[in-house]
Amino acid sequence: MSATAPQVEQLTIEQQVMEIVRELLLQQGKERAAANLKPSSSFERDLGLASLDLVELMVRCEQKLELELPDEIAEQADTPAGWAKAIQQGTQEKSAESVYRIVPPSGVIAPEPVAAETLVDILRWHVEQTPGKTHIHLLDAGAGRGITCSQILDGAEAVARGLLAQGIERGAPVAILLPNGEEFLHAFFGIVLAGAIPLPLFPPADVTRLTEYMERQANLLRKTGARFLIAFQQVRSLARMLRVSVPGITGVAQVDTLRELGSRTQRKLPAPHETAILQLTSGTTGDAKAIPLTHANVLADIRGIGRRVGVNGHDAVVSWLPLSSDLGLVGCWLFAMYYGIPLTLLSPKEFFERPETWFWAIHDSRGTLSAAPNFSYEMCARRLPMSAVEGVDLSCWRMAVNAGENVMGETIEHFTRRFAAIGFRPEAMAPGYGLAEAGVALALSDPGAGPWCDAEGFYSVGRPLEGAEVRIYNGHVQFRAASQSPSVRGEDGWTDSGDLGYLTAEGCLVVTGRSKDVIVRKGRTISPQQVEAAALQATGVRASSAAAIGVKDTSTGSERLVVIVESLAENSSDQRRVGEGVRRSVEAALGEPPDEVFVIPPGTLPKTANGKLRRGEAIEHYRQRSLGREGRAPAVEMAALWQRNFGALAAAGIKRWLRTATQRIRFGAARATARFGGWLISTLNKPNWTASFARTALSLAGRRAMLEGTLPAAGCLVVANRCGHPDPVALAACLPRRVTLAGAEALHGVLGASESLLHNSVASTHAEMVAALRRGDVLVLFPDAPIGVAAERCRFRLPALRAAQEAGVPVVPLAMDEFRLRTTARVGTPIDPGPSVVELRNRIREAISGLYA
Amino acid sequence: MRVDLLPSPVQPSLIDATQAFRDTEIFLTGANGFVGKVVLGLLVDRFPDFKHLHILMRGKAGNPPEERFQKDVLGSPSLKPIVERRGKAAFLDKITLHLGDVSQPQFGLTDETLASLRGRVGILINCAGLVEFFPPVDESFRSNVDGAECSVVVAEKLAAKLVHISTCFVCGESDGLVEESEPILGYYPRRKGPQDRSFRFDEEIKFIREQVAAIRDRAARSPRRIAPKEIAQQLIDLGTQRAAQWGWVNIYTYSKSLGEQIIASQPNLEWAIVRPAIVEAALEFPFPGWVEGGRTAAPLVMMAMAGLRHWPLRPDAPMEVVPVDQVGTSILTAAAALHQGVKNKVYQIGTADSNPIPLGSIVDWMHEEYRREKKKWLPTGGVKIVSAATAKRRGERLIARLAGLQYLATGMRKVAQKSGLPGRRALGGLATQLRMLGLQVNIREQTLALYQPFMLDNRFIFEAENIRAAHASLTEADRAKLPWSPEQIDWRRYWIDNEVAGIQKWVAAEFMKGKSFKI
Repeated sequence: MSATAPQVEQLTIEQQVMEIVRELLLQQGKERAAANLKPSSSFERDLGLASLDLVELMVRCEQKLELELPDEIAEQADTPAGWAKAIQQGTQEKSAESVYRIVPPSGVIAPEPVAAETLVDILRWHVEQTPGKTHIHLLDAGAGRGITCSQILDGAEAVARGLLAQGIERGAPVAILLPNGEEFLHAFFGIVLAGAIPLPLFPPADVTRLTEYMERQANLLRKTGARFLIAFQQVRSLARMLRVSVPGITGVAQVDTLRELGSRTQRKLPAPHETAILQLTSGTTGDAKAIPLTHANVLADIRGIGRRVGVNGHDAVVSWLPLSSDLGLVGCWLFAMYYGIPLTLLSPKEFFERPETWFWAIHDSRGTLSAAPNFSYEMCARRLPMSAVEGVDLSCWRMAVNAGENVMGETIEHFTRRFAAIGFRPEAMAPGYGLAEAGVALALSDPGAGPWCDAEGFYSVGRPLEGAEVRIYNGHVQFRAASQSPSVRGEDGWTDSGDLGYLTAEGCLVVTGRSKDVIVRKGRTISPQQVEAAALQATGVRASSAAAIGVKDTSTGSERLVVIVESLAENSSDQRRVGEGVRRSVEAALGEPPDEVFVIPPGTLPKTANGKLRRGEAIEHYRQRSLGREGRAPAVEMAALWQRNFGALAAAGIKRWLRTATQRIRFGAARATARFGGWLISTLNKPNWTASFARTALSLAGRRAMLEGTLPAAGCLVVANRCGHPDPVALAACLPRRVTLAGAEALHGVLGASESLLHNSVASTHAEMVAALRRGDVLVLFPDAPIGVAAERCRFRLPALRAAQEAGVPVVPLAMDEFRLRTTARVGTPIDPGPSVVELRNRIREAISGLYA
Repeated sequence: MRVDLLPSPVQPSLIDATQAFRDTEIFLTGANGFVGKVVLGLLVDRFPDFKHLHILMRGKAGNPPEERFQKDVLGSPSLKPIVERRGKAAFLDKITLHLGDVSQPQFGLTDETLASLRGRVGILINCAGLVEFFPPVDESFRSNVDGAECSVVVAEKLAAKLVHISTCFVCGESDGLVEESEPILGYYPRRKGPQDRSFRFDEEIKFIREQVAAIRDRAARSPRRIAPKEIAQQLIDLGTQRAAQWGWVNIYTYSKSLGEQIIASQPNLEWAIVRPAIVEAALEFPFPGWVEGGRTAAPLVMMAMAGLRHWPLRPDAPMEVVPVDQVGTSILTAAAALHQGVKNKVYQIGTADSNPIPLGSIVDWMHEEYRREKKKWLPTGGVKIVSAATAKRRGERLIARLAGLQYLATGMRKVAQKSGLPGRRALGGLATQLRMLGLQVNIREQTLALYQPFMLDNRFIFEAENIRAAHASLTEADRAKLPWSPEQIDWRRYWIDNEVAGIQKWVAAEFMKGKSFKI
């Protein structure tokens, strides 16, 4: 009996999963697929479910079965039966997992980097002041880990070296296409350290509209003149296509690859007035634009926010916003870094799939500050089952910044009422306002003030931040601020935000809408926000999924008010009913009905990566009569992309292949020459052929070598640093004859056989070295450490130095330096080996680093 | 005979170890460990007129320290010949045993005891430590961090100087030479230079203690009963993560480095830190080939002598091995030097500096020895050096094949059982054996992975200049009593006759009980 029990359970889980899948398919109008549904049907191939649908499916399964599913489930299994099995295993294994624990802030406020002028200064300051302190708690799919500022600096330095090795010019835009994670942090600061400008792109959110996405990105990259693209493994084929379709891009790489391409060159750090970030606007009205923000802009904005917020030692930031958005990057990450506040970072994907992770993260880290656009509050208020947040305590949340989108009274009320039960304080809700052109934030409510709205339901977003001024000009909101991007500053110093609003008597800003979005119908101005709020009241409309747009009517010269709503309604009569509801609801609010109402399937309204509405895109869809058209299957999208880019990709591939092939042939020839030369010299005993062979080998590899100064002809110990792999051959090209090498282990495997060109024998023990020196040989010692270590830290082994002491021969320091494929060996003044070898070594190191200057 | 000793122009005053040990009493911890026993043996055997020795022994219920000392220490094979040679009576009354533990505050000794020893004990030698690579982090801390902290306190209360035994591998990740002169305070393997002050040992220790307390607290408060094994795993993960974050290869070296930093941060203490590399079989004292415990290279030797041919290692990288008697003599040399005022020095006890043995040669020698021992005359090919990935793949393939065979054998047994055919017992036995074999291969793979940082990922050469200098300044007589002669070791002979033979004789029997590397 006991053996059959799990069998029964599996069957039921499988049946439940099947039921959920069938429901989803029917809702999507895929009757035939639903009818043919089998436990072994492939989600993607047989049922045509895209990855977003799988996410939806996952959420439904979780709600229905009351459990949490691992994100990998979609990758591991592609059939209902597979899911059922994974669900069963998952519930069994869940308990054994070790949990990452977030240490709440200590209450001691970190020293503020008041003198910092650039982003690099902030990072360095915290590496210096609070080393070992966890800066970011990165949570991903239930696992988590802590990241310190030193780790970010280390990773960033490696990325910077890699970028420099790739020949990135100073001030060149480098695009980052990475999700929230450690790689983003490294890439961002790596680019800044390399003197270039990061341009964070939004990772593709919807695989069913890849072609559109790619077109937008290519346009953006072309416009900004991006030179390089850092992407992640999963999108490498997209990145390659971007590379061939944007001529300015010279390279595409992953963070890991960049880390390994070290070089030694340092670049001057950026100055405060130089551009720090190319920040994308969210692109709600049209195509996203890249706004250049200087270091001074970003710092001014961060300080402004900090003053308003009144940062204290118990503060902790929690964010799920993509780091590629202004609010996520400047408003959360860089802000938290500046003030040394711990940041708990989630991925947007995680949040969309399981909104409760946001609350749990706040609970676990005792988060006090967290910002998000209005729709996410709405989503939590509507969709989050209270059972998922049972045990959460939100009383620590002192500022729930609501910014980046119009603040809706309905949402605030709903959210506050619903989550008061788990400790959410009404006064914590803090509407704010900002735009990428002004750093990120321009105005923010005072902490603890609570939200305030006028008679028409427009919310106050607080007073302008310190260092920022706001004026109303013809009803338009205009601003002037230290954080204002120089690119948008008007002649009089003011910038028009494109938003409409007014200032209250207390100096608080109230934003009433976007001027571009405002619909003018028959002389009457209509705020789309008002219409949308009304439309959302109607039954059957999905949360935050209504758009009101104004479309030019050529016959009247006025605009037509079109309302588009997403609904789960499947058949046309239901849709008509929903449409009628919307029409009535809008009419009640406006006093007149909308011209047209469209009811479209869920997930088809164009939105940004942050989940905000893209009205411009919606107008475009309306014009092309493609409203509500569902995306194509990911495979079809991919195929279309491939077909479009195939020629360019093939050409680039052939070019690359040819280049590597030529290089391989040349290096092969160089190695063969060196090896054959070494053998020939030994066999024919012609030591003075060394230099010519070495030079031939070097020139085959496209390199040159030269010696500055003269080496003693005999009886000395030459101590050289290493600057690159061909050092020994380069040295051989400069010397009149072959030498003895002190301990070849350090060179072993680095050069293969070619080092035999340089030396005719190896002295590996102390006694052999003494004998060689007494014989009058030139003994060469290389450091026993990886290539590229600075001269003052080179590790020279002491037996050779002791041998020089004992034989009483001079020690000659030699600085090897490589610049543009030319290796220079500079000879220093011979040093008399004193009594102490350790001291001798220090003197040699000093002498070698002295030769660099 | 020694070619590398220069007659220095200014002759420093010679260190007289015999006189030093005659003058002052010594306090020794960890005397029942591998190194501790050799130190004790050397002292008793080579300096018979030492003044007095205090030994800290851990107590167990119903097992008085005297009995344990007689049985476990003096009765061990290493000290037996010395006891026989010198006679117990000659030294037993000069040894005082103290019941205590290095991880307890002031070793668990009373204030009266410490006060009575104050001024008498000149040197405290701390040989105690937990040489396990990945234990739960609190266990490692108890011996290696708390132990260091308490020995500092005891040394201060005794007004004694402290000789602390650490390990060369506190350097962490490395590719090449590791210098002795590297500053101890603030060190972590990925340190970017002396100006890099990211690592503060006191904060680090505090952090780990808080985290350990949190893990235990969470376990105690959890509504679900959490198995001790699960807590231990969390503690291991904590230590592993933290060590790796700074660049240490395991929890052992991480905690040892923290212990060193505690000692180096004491302004008023005079100390010497002795860092042996991989401590292996004795060269000649107490007798050639004495070795104890299976911690260091023993698993590798056993795998090689069971015929393993594919090794994931860097053949040119040296194996930083040092015979245990040379470690013992170095500790006593450092102690004598410290007593005479050579203070705050680090002694790295390694051999690759002057006489390296490449890892490739070691596995070659062992394979030849294996063939000779097993009388395998047929040429089956020698040792192959493979990448870590290849080694792993081979292991996985082997495990898969064994599992397949086992499945087959089990199936056949079932068929035999049902149909009443003969041979089901033999098939059952076969399946069990295959299962055991699979487990053994698994253990072997895990062991290779455990040693990967030392054989493949890193290359270590430890500079051993300070011990050379200290040894050179010993008096002629002491130099003979406390030899330090890595250059003169014939590695091939040592490895086969001392190391392999020693491990087969003293370690293998004990070790093979649980797991085997034979395949």
